[in-house]
Amino acid sequence: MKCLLDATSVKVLARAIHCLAKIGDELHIEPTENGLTLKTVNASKSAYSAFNFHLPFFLDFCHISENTIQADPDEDTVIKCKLPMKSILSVFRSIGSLEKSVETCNIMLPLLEALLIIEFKCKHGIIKHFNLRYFECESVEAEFCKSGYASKFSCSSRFYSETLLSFHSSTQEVTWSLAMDQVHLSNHIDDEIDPSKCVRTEVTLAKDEFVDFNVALCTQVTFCLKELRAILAFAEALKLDLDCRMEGAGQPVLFSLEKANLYSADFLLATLTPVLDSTATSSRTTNNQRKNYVSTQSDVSKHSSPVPVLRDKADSRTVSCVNLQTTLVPIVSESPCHTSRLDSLSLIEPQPFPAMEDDLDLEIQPPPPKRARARYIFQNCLKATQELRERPCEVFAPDSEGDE
Amino acid sequence: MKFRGKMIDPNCIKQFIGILGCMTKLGKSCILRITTTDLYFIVRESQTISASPLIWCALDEGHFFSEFGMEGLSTVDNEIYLEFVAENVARTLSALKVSGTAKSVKIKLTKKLSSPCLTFEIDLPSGTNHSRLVVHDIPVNLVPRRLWNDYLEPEAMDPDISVHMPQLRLMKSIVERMKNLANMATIHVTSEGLLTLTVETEAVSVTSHFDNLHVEKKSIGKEEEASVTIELKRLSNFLGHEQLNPQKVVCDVLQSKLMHLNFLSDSYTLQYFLPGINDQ
Repeated sequence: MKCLLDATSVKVLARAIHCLAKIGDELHIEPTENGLTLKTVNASKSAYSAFNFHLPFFLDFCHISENTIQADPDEDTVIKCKLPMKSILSVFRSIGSLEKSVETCNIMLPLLEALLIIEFKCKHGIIKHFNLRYFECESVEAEFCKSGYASKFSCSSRFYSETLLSFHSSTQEVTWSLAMDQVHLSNHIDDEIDPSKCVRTEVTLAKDEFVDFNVALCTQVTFCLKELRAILAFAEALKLDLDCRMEGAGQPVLFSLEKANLYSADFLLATLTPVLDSTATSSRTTNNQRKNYVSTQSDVSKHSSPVPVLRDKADSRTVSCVNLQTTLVPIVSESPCHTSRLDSLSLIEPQPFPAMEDDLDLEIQPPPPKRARARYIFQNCLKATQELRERPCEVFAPDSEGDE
Repeated sequence: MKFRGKMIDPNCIKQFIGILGCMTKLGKSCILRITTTDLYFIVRESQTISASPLIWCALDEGHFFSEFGMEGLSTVDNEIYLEFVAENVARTLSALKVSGTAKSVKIKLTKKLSSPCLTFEIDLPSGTNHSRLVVHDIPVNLVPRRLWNDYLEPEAMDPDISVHMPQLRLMKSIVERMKNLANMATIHVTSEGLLTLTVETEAVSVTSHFDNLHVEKKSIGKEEEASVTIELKRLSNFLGHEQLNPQKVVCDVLQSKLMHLNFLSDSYTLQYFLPGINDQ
């Protein structure tokens, strides 16, 4: 792949990378016939974002990496790769300095060297050349259908930002309650904390405040603000409108934006599964759900039922979701596959869990909150029998005094 | 018990939020006392070295609220004492600051989720003639009647010397720098309008002199000067709120015992009682 960008496009690309960097740790680069796609998935696999840059965005674009030594049209390959976000972010880190000095930018994925080459031609004849190592991989896909969502509303990104200002910056999750003529936002309080001890904030947005408002299903959806803030930072800088599509509780939310035919972006965010009525199943399901996304982040409570797991089958803790995975989509072993097709969502209702009770050992059961978490951590201590391991018979330090 | 107040003047709203912000930064928990005529914020910090300092702020409800109604504990004790965790309010304040453009702010005592809260309902204008309602519920505790005496209005003290403070911003920057040198400083005031702030360490001693200060009052028969040693950290915490723009700030010193700062403004008074530290 090789492409050439002018100064304004470089700035947009840099902002897009900043946005993706706030969401995930690895950037997937996929050149296609229609342009360049940058994708990322977050660590807990609960947010997927993709930026599509179309052909008019570039001064010059070729998605094929040519074999420069022996020109062989049959061997043309399209390289898809991924890199750690840190490395590419360091190239595009300072948007201010990019704005001041860069005139054009050349990005190349040559066939023969396993490097992503970025070259900035700056003012005063300065050329900055970056070689970044990448890893080859299969693509990360999330299949979703924009027209399949029940509710859709859109407005300027500034409007969303202003609304979110009413929430303190440490609020992690916000619940959006959709009604026929309004959207009601409130901060979500974790089940474990006593809600009467926390400050609760609510904001009501009337239908007329939106540019476009079409709610078919009255429902409540809760998802994390972190990714939304990253999206808004990008959208506000470029003064774009943001579309939001929601289905129902537990189903993922889709945010999208686009600029004419230059670029577009989609962000699929997982939402919290609603707690079911029956307490027995609900505690297990929410617990199971919670542990789908064993995350390195401290906020664990982000999971969605339909977003199936991007985890390999070997991981016994996600037994429940592995089952789902096999029923849904054939997965290439290395690639995380991320489906949220609406027709398959019904497969992902939490009902299977009670049936699996018999199969589940204490060990395999995912760690639920509070006391049960302690039980999980200390599970070996609580087990009835100890694992008998053969100990080596070799004595390294014999008794200095003989046995009496 | 009931309480309901509504503010519609943007300046009043801003000032109220500013005072609330100031209170939350000065201690872990804050008491709000509501009477038929005034609102009081009381912060009594836990003891550190000496007797606890006390912050007492009185707001005239007539100035701030366009609508005000309250019903206290009983007809005899027609007051409400609430305690809230400063951190909760501080976190909401950044969101409340948005209400600088609010059309109105209503504060009510409500009971949600079976525990009492102070609810702030903010009416924000948005876009085209619409208004957006933002509601914050801050959990509070009702202070039982037997503890009300802990929060009595402090007695008007009879200071040895009382002067107008020099420009607060100036004092603040000096105190900030002195804070790095030592924990305590001595304030020395003379009846000629000279205030000095001295910090001493093993290696160095730094004194700032402010003169030509207006002397408010000096006790006849007592010394012509007074000094007290105080904790700098607390002083700098307090001076940080110079953005409240009081009309004047009076500093009263009671020899070795107390430094009293009084922020005076037509709509509210804010008093800070800093006890002196006796390490001699």
